[in-house]
Amino acid sequence: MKKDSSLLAWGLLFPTLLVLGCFVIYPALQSFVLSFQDVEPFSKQSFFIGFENYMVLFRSPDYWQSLRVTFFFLVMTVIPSLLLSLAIAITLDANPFFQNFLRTLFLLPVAISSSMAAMLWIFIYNPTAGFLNYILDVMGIQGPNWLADPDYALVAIAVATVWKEIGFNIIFFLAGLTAIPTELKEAAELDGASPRQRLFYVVLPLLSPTLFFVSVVSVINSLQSFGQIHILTAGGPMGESTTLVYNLYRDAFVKFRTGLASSEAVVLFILIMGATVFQFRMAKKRVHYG
Amino acid sequence: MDKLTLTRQNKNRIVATLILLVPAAIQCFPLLYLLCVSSKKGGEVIQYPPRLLPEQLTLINYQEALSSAPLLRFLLNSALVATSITFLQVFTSVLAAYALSRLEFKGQRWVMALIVGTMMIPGEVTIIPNYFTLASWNWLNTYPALILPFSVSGFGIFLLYQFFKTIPKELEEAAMLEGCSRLRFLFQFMVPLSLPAITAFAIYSFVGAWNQYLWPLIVTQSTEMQTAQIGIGMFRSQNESMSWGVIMAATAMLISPTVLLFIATQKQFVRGITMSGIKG
Repeated sequence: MKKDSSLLAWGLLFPTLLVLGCFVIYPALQSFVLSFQDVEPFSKQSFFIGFENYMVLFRSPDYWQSLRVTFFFLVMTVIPSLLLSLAIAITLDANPFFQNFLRTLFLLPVAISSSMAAMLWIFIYNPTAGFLNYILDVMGIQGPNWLADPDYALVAIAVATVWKEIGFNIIFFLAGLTAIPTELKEAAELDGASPRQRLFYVVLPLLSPTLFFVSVVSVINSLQSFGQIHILTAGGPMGESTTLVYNLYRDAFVKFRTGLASSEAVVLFILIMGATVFQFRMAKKRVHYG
Repeated sequence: MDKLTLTRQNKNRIVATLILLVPAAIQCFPLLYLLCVSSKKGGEVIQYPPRLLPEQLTLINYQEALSSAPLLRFLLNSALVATSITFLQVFTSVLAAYALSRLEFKGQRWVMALIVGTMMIPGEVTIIPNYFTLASWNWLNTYPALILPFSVSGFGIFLLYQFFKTIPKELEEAAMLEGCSRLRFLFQFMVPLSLPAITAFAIYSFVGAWNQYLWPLIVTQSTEMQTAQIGIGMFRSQNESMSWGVIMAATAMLISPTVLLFIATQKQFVRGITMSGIKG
């Protein structure tokens, strides 16, 4: 009987383990190995070169630029999208008129992929015929050529990204807010707490697990952004929107520098893990589960 | 007291509605703008100052977009790939989650740890070797290349594992006494009982598969294999010769299926995404 069930178990697990082995575990280890190798682009012959790829990487000003770009992009997407979606979710939860309609509207971008979101914004940013510069013009401001200006390209991508991401965050915040018992808010109100006090001492602490989850996911998503960058600027102008992932894509699949790109993949993996672990550490002090 | 709270409640509702007006307008602007630009006649799009509403509605951009790129093919590719990935992920997750939650075997804990561990590996880490693997099998630019690497989801297994654990064991023991085999029990009882979790995961999985960008960009080489997300890039790179009206019309057609699907299934959609959020 027991032997029977263990045979069945391995049988049921077989497709899962086969696919994970082939397409997740093997390639993850292989990336690590390749990062210590020099791979010839055409013959695919490879030679062990130790830490050479990593040295090249960290000596390259372009790579440092992409680290900086990735960090700015992270700050410009995660913080605004968290604050805006939290504010919108709290207001939506306060039972406004047309609540269902408004909720649908805010959640809608969830159904739109990052590349399609980029297509929606691309014409808005058009320097001559786009609506954004028209509005700025009406206000007497000369708008830049958003996507071609090194100072503004990354901001423009970040705005389109935030536009797309907040719907996803609002879903979680709304779920978290509905889970807060109304009696708690009412009790605080009866005790004479002002709306602000209720927000900061009742609602936000109870929402902190959701806030934590959403921020972890947002950071990971931001670090992995690709589609909108590829559509809007293709990493330009002058590398000012080349993030780590974009750099990796170009090194691996445009320049065919397999070994170097693999070392970038390893660094990216460490950074994502590091950011996640860091947030878990921070959360230990501040998140209230209860 | 009653009247007082009622009016105050109304006042709060009005304030909340007013606060949301501006963000709501910003949030729907790109979509409305898309519809407006895509239904303007050629020269009107680049007119300055721009008018928001078209002088004369026209579908000519939509016709032109359809004739300049295989948009339907892109959508069919996306639908085929996303449906296959969803189906395979659900199927493999059901089998694996059942084995892990209900059967006893040596190494169970290790397998579980391994599967949960794979959830932490970002896709960028695996794409380079996966590309070489598929190239060596001569599978580039095929549907299996788009589907197979994603046919298992560590997250799906984890989610269903947790759900299966909540189904009482007694039910299974009783069924087995009646002579029901394990597999029959799985498909006749466990799966129907877990339908809310399975639907939620299926929606999550479908959205993720539909929205994929990097991998399809790398493995599709010919236009007829491209998914909607990649195909739209054609309009981006050819924008010198193509009118903005046509580009926006193509975008409108490629986003409409998921937008409509979202509006039609919003409740399940939201539940799918929030349930999946339990992973945190």
